[in-house]
Amino acid sequence: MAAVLQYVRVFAAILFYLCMYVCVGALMPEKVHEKSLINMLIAGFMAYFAFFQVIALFCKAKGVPLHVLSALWFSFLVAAAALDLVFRRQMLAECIREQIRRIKKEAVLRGMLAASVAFAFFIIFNTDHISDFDAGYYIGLIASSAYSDTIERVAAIWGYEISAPQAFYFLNTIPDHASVMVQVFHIPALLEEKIVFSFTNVLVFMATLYRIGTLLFAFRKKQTALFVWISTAVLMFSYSLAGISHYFAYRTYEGKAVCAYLYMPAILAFFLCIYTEGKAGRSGLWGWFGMFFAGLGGVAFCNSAIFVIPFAMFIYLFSMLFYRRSRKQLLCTLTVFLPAAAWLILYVRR
Amino acid sequence: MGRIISFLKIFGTYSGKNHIWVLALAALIFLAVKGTKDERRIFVWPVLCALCVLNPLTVSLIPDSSTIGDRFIRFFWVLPFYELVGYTAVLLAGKCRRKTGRAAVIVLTAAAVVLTGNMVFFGKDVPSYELPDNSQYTDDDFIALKEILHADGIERPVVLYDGHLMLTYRMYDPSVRSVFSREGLYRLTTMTQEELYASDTQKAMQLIAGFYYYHDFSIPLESFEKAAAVKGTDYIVTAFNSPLNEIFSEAGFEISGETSLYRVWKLPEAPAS
Repeated sequence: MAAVLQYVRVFAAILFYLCMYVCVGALMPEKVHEKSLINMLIAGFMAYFAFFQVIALFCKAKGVPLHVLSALWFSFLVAAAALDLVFRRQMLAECIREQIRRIKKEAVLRGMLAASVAFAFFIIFNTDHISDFDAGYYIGLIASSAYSDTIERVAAIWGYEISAPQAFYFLNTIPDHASVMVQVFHIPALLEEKIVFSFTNVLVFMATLYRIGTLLFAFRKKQTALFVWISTAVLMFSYSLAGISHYFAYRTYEGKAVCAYLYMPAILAFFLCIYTEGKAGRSGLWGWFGMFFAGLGGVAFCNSAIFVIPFAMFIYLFSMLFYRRSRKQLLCTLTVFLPAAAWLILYVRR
Repeated sequence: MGRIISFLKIFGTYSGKNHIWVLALAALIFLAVKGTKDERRIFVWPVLCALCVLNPLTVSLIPDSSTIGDRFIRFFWVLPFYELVGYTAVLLAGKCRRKTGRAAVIVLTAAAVVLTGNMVFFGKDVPSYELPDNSQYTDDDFIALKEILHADGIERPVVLYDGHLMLTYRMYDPSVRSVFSREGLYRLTTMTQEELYASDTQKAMQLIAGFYYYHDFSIPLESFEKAAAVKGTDYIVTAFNSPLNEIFSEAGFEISGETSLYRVWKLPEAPAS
């Protein structure tokens, strides 16, 4: 019975994560998400962890107990949900109705959704995660924080109290997010990471690939679906110990893995939005917002994000500045680089 | 030349010398030569832009010891190789007028991916796909160990266990403390026994590491016991095939319990002095 209840909580946590990403994404102006649930999900994911990074870093620096961070974060999420209820209720209801109608009507979409869920299950049912040294630290830290009601003040492997969080990982708050969820949902850290977080991440990854496909093939469904599955197949067949496929398949929950397999294609999707909408004389706000939040929240996942995310944004945006010499775009480009630059300065100064 | 070789080595490590990258290169060249202006701007320009960092000169300029130098390989993450292959395959399929032609392109692409690539979970020299042993996503032994380590009701017991347990057990049960820290474990795995003895490692830890980890039985059992007591050790976990079992058994240590792989010993209480 206890195991059943635990899995009910695990399933609730998966739904909660996905709903909250959409909730946070829906709060952005309509011009940004254009009433698209996928746009809300992807930009919402970026914004969700960007806001968490700001709140959690403050709490971590102050050394407050974990339950304070949990209370703050859930207050934020409740406020976001309340704002959605007041200001976005109708729009969200319309979006969900429209999405259900499309899923019922279009076999390609139905197939994509079912296959993505099956694929996510396939990924999470593997328990061969290769790196015990990293997993032991990351998940051990989450379990220790939740058990001791502290923010990274108990050593992951050792289990004794420490005076301050590990300096090297100070800017990374993703273990603290998991600790909050472990504390609130009463699920073991192993299940939070290897099932809940991994499952939702695979779905967000698939949604991102789908979004890239719609932008590349102008919403032609069959081509988009084909693109998604060929790309996924190439990723799954590109195994190397240091490559993205390794992180995606074996270490789906790890911060650096998320940065590699989720932030990189998301930045491509944001760029494609800016590029295609720019061609049509529109602003591509979804892309700009997404990039901004990716720069702000990416560092929550790993220190490498401090230089890899700006580099990814650089290769797309600066190449675009060559052929589209627009002052407005230059201004937007500089703005999206601001959070990334701020993290870099903070990292170097520490 | 040395710079180029060093750069190629880093890329070789990143790609795992997986031949699927040939497909990505072919797709890039195809789009560069035959692609439209938009396709070149979306895929080719950014890759060219990436070359301003991903090149042999940059590798030689960034010191290996710096954080960025140490993780230079992660700059390769930005290359959109799987999206590139996916897009080009769909593009080529779309150029065929007949359904059979389109199907042929897809089948050929799938074949090329399978033949050139190495699949995660099921490929050659690849960690295998392993289903969970139980609903807790941990080893069955860990579940049994948790029962044993908490049977006496000691709050946050201090446990001396081996490398694998040291690394992974607290993911499942954070209510125990380990004699070795992460740094201690790092020292054990990177130093020889002699180096450890010569290092500034605490004397008690040297004795524990020497006796328990390196099986240096020139260290008297009493010294090990005292050192373990100094570190507040409540339990010692040994593998079934460990030579320590015989020594502990002869010394009259009490067995707290056994799992399929491990034996848990309770450290005798030090006599009051």
